[in-house]
This record gives sequence, C-alpha cells and structure tokens, in this order.
Amino acid sequence: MKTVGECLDILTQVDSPDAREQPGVLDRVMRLLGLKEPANA
Amino acid sequence: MMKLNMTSRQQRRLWRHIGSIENFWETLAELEPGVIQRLAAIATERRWEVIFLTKRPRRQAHGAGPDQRWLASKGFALPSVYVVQGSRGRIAHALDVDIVVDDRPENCLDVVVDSKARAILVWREDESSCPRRRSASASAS
Repeated sequence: MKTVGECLDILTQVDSPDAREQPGVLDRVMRLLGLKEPANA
Repeated sequence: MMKLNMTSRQQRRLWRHIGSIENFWETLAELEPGVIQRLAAIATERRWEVIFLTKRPRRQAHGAGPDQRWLASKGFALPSVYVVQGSRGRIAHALDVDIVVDDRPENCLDVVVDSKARAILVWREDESSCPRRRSASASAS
C-alpha cells in the first residue's frame, strides 16, 4: 500500500458485510493483499 | 520524505534535543491529513479494536502519554497505545492481533515471523526502492 488511507480502503472492504457474504469478493481482496486466507482463519 | 544518514552518536544527540522540547510530539502533523480521524470513525462503526504500537529509545521514558495526546488531538479519542521495545510480532502474538499495519519492512517481517497476524506494509517511497523489490531484482541478476 502507498498510504494508510489505501490500507483503510482495503480493510473496510474485507470487513464489509457484503464481502463476508460473498467469499469471492473477500478472496479477491485477500489476493490483492497477497494473502491466501482470511486473517482470523 | 527526507532520509538522514546519521551516526548513533548523532541520533542520541537528536533524541536528547527532542526530549528537551516541551510538547514536541504534539506539534507533529499527520503524514496523511485526516487519516487518524477516519480510522477512528471506521473503528467505531465497525467495532474494530485498534492498538497503536510505537517505538522510541528506552531513555525517552515518556510512556504512551505523548502519543495518546497526539492521537486524541487528531481525532482518535482514548487511543490504546503500547510502547514497544522489542519485536512487534511478539506483541501482536501476545495480543492476538489480526492485522498489523506498519511503514517499516523489518517490523512487518517481525510480525510475519513471530505471530499469526497479517502484516501490511505502507511504503510511501518509490516501489523500486522497496526491499522486496530490491532483493527480487538482485536475485534475478
């Protein structure tokens, strides 16, 4: 990430109800972060 | 952002000087104006528990007070601040933190090695100067 603001954008996407209900969205965001699974897995 | 190549002695002198300035920390501006307030608003809305980890020389024995006052002045009321001396990863592990955001690669490495938390690096400089990129290009050559 270039900024903390960008970081907050991503984290709010990961934590949104939509993302939680749509694993595909979460997977995409996690891939964007270079992560393979949710942080609390 | 300007980087200074200072010797240990120069750094000690600088920290001594900073320690002599009253309310020094509170005078510092945000690198990203408004981002602390935004974080506070999101944390309240999403019920995130946010802990600020900070590091400074052991001799600067102010505790977390200056950091808390600074964060509060930027819009984050009652912030939890932990002054770290060792690995942030061990702190992240002890506190069962999910994600650590840091602007130093070595701190992110600590987090990845010493905890189950995910590390997010905020790299404000040119991407080509990011250590991972450097080592990748070095190994390719």
